[in-house]
Amino acid sequence: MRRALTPIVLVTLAIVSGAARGAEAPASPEDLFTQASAAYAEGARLLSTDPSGAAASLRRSAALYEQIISGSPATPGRRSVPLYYDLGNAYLLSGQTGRAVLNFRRAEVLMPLSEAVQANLTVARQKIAPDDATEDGTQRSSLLLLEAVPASIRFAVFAGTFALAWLLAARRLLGGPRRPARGMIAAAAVVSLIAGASLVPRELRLRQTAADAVVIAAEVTARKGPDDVAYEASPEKPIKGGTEVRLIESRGPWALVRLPDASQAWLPATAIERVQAP
Amino acid sequence: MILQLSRNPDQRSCPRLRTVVSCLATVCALSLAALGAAPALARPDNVSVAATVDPATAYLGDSITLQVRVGGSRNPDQPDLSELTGFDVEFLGGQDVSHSSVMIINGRRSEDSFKGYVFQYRLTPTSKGVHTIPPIRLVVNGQPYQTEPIQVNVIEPGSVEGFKLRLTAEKSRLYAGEPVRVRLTWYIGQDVQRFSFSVPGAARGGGDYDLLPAPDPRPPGTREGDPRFITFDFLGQPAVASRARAELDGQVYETVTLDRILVPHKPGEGGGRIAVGPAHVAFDAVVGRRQRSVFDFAFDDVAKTERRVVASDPLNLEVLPLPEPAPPGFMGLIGEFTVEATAQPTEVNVGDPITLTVRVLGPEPLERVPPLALARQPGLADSFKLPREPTLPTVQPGAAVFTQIIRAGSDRVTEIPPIQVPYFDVASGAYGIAKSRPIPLTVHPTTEVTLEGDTQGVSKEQASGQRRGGAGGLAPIITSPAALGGRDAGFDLASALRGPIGIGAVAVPPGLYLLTAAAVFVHRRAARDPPSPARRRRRALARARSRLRAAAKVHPAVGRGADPRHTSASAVSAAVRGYIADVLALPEAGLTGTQGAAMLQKRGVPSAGDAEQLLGRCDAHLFAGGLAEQPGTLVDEARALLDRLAGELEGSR
Repeated sequence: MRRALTPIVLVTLAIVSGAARGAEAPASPEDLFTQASAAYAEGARLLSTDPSGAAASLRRSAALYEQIISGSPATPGRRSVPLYYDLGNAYLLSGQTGRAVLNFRRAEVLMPLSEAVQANLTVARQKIAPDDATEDGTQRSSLLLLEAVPASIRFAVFAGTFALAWLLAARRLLGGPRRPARGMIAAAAVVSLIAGASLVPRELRLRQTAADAVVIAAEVTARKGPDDVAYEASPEKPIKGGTEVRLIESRGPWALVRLPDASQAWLPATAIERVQAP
Repeated sequence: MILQLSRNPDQRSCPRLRTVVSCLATVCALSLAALGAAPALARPDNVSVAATVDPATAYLGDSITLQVRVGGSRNPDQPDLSELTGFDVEFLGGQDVSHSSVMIINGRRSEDSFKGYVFQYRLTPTSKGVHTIPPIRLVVNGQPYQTEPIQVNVIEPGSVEGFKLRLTAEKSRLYAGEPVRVRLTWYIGQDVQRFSFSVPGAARGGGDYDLLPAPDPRPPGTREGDPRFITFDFLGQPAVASRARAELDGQVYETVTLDRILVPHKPGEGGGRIAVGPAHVAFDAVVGRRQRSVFDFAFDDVAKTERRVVASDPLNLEVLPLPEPAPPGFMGLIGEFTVEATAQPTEVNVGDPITLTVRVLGPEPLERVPPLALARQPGLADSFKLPREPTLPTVQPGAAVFTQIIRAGSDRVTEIPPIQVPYFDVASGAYGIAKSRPIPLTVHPTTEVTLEGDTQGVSKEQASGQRRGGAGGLAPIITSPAALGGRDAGFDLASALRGPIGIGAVAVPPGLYLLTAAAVFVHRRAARDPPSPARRRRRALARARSRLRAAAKVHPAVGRGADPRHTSASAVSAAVRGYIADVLALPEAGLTGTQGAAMLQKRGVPSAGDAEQLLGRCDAHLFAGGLAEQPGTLVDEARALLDRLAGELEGSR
């Protein structure tokens, strides 16, 4: 009897301890990413045959991507252009146009030259205002081509070559037979200049979009003032989710925004989200 | 009454009955009081509503003003005038008439405030007789109120000498939905002021016909204030009429001519006839001038006027029904229409956007041209990718213009087929189809996959996304785990520059360079420029003192075999001679004490002799061994000498 019980107890203990380990260890970002991609693929597959099942899969996919981005107490959040882009896709196919536009804009701000980001952002915008969707007007300059290199690496190159150029120049001032050649200093300065200049467009974009926000609610009624009882609706038609606005003022639970037609309106602060992630 | 009953002396003999009656009386009194107080509790006492009209008697065709005054609220709800019949109603606006004032008389402060709002309407009676404006309901502070009914007497205007009004139409027999131009001509025989036109029943809409604005009679480039035209309010909208002179019945009149487009909705009841009008014009006719008084300004109007109303004859139109059945795609266009179509470009690759512009030309008003659904055009949907949704036209003079983006579906497409617009031709009394000419196209094959779905406004990027075959027309997601690798999104340039790496790389190297440059500059300048005499003297003194300090340190240690006096004398001699050489900018080597002292004397230095004497003593000690003084004595004397020499050289400068 004791011999028969021993394996059962051991197996039970193994299962319990395994489950406990599983419960304790949160899924890694890599695991979550794999699950999110799989859920997206499943949702995309079901789009034409089972719309409700597709929507459920896509919503799950979006939730997993969000989990990767926000992170947990144990694992820091990950932020990258591909993550925002994938998340935008998941939201767009699941019908949440507002959040789709928001995440495509976040990806666009970080990498404006991404053709895929621009294409899908255009599709998302067309769902909101079919007549207003415009072609991508991003200027493709040589400096912007460097956007493919991560900004942190470009900054490291800039800082290193900048310091090198100054130190070589200082050494050259001291003279002597081992002083560095002018060409060496010039090369370091040119590399530093290019790397530093390539950071400027990104910085300008971040500054220009600092007040940009997107309506994430499906529809929201704008008001003439920060109260939905004391102030009448303006404009009378609700603002659609995905409408891109510019934040002018925040006052408690309300935000004053500039709408695409340049008019101003108050929206509930919870109905919009800034393009630049906090 | 009940209270009196409770006080009836006859009841005093029965205390029990008196108690019961007293209780009943109390209950009844409280109930009555509650009933009486209920309205007062339910609504604020200071709310009042009232309606007034001015004037209470009006000619048919003239308008009266209805005011609904609300006291006790600054923002009441708008009154409900839906039950008002017999008038065309035009809302003129509302006004907050609240005010407050504070008076202080003999130190006593009194405050008076009033909250109120006034709604104003223009009412134009549509028939003669006594009309009753029913109680007007409105909600104030959440409570319903209503005004008292008002009676308005509307009388038929009599014949007015010198004025006539004519209402005419281009044709009196037309089809339901067919637009026809009607003309209102006012013949004016004398001066008038403050006029208004009305056509009973036209303002409400939803009746037998619509009276729509006609094209602006002013030719392009007409300046503002051109006397040939006059602008006024007609049926609540601004209208432009032509001014001219015309002869009628042998009399010359000034005329005001206003054109409108009448569109009958349906055949009239009873023989298909509908009546339009009679139209009216109400005005102040100038009947004379009063005597100008001393209180009048130069430009004050002194005309005496009388209110007049002139009516036209009614316009009777025969409205015919459209033949049944209507052809497929008929959207109610009635008149004679033509269609023109252009495309740009006409040589494309498969899937390239083509801007198709369709112009529908026909009678005004062209705002009635319905949206054009290209997807329903025969032959077009098979060969082209088309927008799913119909688009509204842009109305230009004489044409309704549609602009759409279409894309050829294959390289076998050779033309854009005729765009067809069904309409009812009133000339022939039959349905017809206006067709554009086919537009030849040259479509080249391409390896790119043809787009699916809605192509309106599709960008190249979107198209490329669709070509990549992503779900829902989207570019596909990124599934590589490398997508997680980048944390570049969180990179902040400002923070990086403020961090230790930023400061170390960006601020420190330029700082080092500047320090180096400064040092090199100073060094080179010092090497290039000779010092000034004063600087030379200071440096000479400092150097000599330094040598003397060295001499003072040396002599205690010199005891190991060497003669400290000898060593001290040598150092002192070198310091003093060096000082003299430095001061005089001479080489130290070879300068003897005698030579130095002689040159100092030439400069008028009094202590030159002392210097010669001290140097002589040092020489004697060094070469003759004639002195037996302590080494410290020579050093101290040399210090004192140097100080004196420095002071004297400074004084002799």
